[in-house]
Amino acid sequence: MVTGYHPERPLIVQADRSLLLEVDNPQFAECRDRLAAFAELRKSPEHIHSYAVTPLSLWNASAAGATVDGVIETLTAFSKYEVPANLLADIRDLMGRYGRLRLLRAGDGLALEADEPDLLDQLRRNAHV
Amino acid sequence: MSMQLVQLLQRLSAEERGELLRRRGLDAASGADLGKLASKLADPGSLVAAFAELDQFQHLVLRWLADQPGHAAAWAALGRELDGRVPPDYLENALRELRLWGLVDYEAAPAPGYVATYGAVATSLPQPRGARLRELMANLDSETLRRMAMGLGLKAAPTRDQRERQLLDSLGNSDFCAGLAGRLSEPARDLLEWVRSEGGWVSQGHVKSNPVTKVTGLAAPTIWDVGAAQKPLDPLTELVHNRLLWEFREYRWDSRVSGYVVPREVEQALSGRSLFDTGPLQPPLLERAERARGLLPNPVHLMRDASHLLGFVTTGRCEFRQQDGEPYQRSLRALGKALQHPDAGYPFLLWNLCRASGLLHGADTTFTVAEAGLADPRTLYLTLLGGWSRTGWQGDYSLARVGNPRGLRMRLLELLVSLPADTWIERGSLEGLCAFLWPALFSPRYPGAGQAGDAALSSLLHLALAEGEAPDGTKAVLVPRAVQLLLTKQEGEEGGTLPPWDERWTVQPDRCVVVAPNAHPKALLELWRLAQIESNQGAAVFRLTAASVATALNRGMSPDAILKLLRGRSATPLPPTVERLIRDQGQRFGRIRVGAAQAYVRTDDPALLEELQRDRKLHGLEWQELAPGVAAVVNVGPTAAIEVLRKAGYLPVAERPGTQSPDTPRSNLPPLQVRQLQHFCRVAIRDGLRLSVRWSEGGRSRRAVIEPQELKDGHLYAYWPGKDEEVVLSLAAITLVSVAGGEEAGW
Repeated sequence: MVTGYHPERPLIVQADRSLLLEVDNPQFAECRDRLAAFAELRKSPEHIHSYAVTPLSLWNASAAGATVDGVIETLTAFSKYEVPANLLADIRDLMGRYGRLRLLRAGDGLALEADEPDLLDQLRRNAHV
Repeated sequence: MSMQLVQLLQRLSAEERGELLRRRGLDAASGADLGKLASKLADPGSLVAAFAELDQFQHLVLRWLADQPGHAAAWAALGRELDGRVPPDYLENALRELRLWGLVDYEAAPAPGYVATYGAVATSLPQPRGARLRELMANLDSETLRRMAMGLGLKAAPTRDQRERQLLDSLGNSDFCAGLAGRLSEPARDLLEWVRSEGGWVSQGHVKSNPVTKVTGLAAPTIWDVGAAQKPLDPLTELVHNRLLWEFREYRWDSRVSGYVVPREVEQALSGRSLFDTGPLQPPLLERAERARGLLPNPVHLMRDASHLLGFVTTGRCEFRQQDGEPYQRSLRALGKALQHPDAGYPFLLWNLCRASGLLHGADTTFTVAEAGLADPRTLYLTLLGGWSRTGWQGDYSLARVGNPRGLRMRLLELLVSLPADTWIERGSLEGLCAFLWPALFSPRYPGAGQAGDAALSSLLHLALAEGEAPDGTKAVLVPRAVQLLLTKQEGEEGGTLPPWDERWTVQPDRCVVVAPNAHPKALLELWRLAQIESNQGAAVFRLTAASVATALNRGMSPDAILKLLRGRSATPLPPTVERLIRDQGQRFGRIRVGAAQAYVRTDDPALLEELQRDRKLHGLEWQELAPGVAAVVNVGPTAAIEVLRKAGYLPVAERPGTQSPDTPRSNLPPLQVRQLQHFCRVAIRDGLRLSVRWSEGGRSRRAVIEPQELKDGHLYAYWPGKDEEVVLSLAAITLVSVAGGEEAGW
């Protein structure tokens, strides 16, 4: 529910995981630097840069040590409007997957390690794996 | 002990009568004549509106009274029937309310206390699904009732009314019904239990699926034959014979049986339950939905999308049906796709909201926006909610006839304000509360209700109610505190919950125009005139394209006007790419001009056309020169133009499209003359005769001696010795012909 409106902030977070960043805003540089950790720059015309939060960009962020709370805090701190709840849920879900499967050396080969046995069963049944 | 409404009105104090008039939507003057007032209050439409205000318990009290002799009972009898199910003050409060609605009168005293209603109430009271014995017996004659009574082992009463009462009393008696059921065969008992488990009503078709018997109909005509009771009967017939099951007809005059029903009185007698056991007597508690999660409604997005609909309609992109002026479904679906909303019904909701609220008004595909509704975000939101409250099925047609109707949806909005805010509640418990507070409108047990309430709740999910689900799958709803504030905040109060309109947009060099989610509706309307919507996931993104600019130009906007409009709200200077696009399209605009013309005139000699245009006798013709020797006649058709030219002394001919040579349609000559000319020419060809011919060409008369060669398709092919060339003459153009050196034959 829209209760917070911060016109001085530079970011509009869209429900389709795209982010619109105002270049002419005083907080632009700081926001850009923080978005770079977990969002992909899609286009950068003169006034509004477009970013996208994707599963890959979130994976990269997780690999670099970013946390769910950190990503959400960034979005919330710079967003003009309330961040869509579905995007927050997606971020938690996607980043929560990081590290649940690990590919490790085992002798001369590789071993796939999972936190939960059910996950390995799922992978075994997956026709594409 | 039967009550007359006038008696109730006489017993009311002046203050109570004033309250009654206010509740029933009548002015104070109506109270002057009690007789006339009673007539108005007893009007079925007025009663239906009053019933819509009553809760479940009040409905049950009225239904119980309606079943009593004379629609009245002793106070103690009501007390016995209720048997402590509700506290005394709760009962008295309910009756006081009924009294102030003009529906019931009472005196709360052991003796001579009473409680009563009147005939109009009993007749108009909405009935839940199921059949009552009185209705089932309404069309039965006295002899049939007598046989029924005898079939049940009763000594039939002497008169029809008495027989009806006898059956009512017997079949409404628990012991009697238990006795009947006890004497049933096992298959009949099983069949009865099956019908009761199906809600007490089964259709004729549904009977086939019963697990007990293959019989799907009665063994008529022996059902009325008392002697038939001696024979073994099939279970269905046995139940009907014992009056535990009744035939049900959709229409009274229909000979076909629609189904079979256990009357409510029989059901209550068999189950031992009272009428007051058929539903909650006090408001049910709302159940919290633990750990429910869901999406909250966003009024900002709703208003943004409503603005999109306004733009979609007012820029002519919506197609409308001719017969009723409503939009084609395909048009609204196209809008839904453009808005990228997952709910296919969303654009239809927007349309209904904008129309019902008066935000969009007009007809016959021409619509305008009521700008008063766009004053500020809260005004627009409340306008849309007001429109929502007026759409959809309101519960009863009668409500529309009563002044100041509070339909189903308005009540729902009023309820929202009183619910616990920001708390997930089980949707079922909210529906149960609504069904208790206004059963005639919300309870699925009443025909016409239930579905309307469900539809109202569902449509409110986009507007003011959050929808969610608990981990166990239970549906839940939540009323945001912000919505309650919006609904209840007084003018001038500090602290809004909606962001103010954002009047600006950003035009990008890639020709995108980005508008904030809280953009002013007018900004969105303006963009719909110029650009195509590309994305709508919060901020709306439009794109200026060659096609969108062309559309704006075609609607009458000039390139400068387009640029001015864009600059007017742009937070930054317009990018050169955008200006270039608009200027380029502006230059292309108008290079092809199309006009309307009814006829054209083509002359072989351009000078002749100029002569025609200068001729005073032809000043009535409006010329539009198209090319040398060709001009359109704008104001008259070909036949009239020919007539005018001929009156002016010229010799025009009508030109068939696609031909190069003038050719007068054959219809210009009488058929007999054409045949005669054809014959003449054939003879000349056969005999090798030379012909002296006069014909009309380009408005001038020409003459020559020719040697005809061939006659084909209304044309004479000939050799012109004087010019040593072939010539083709239309028979219709020939005005004089003769054998060269012979007598002339003229036309």
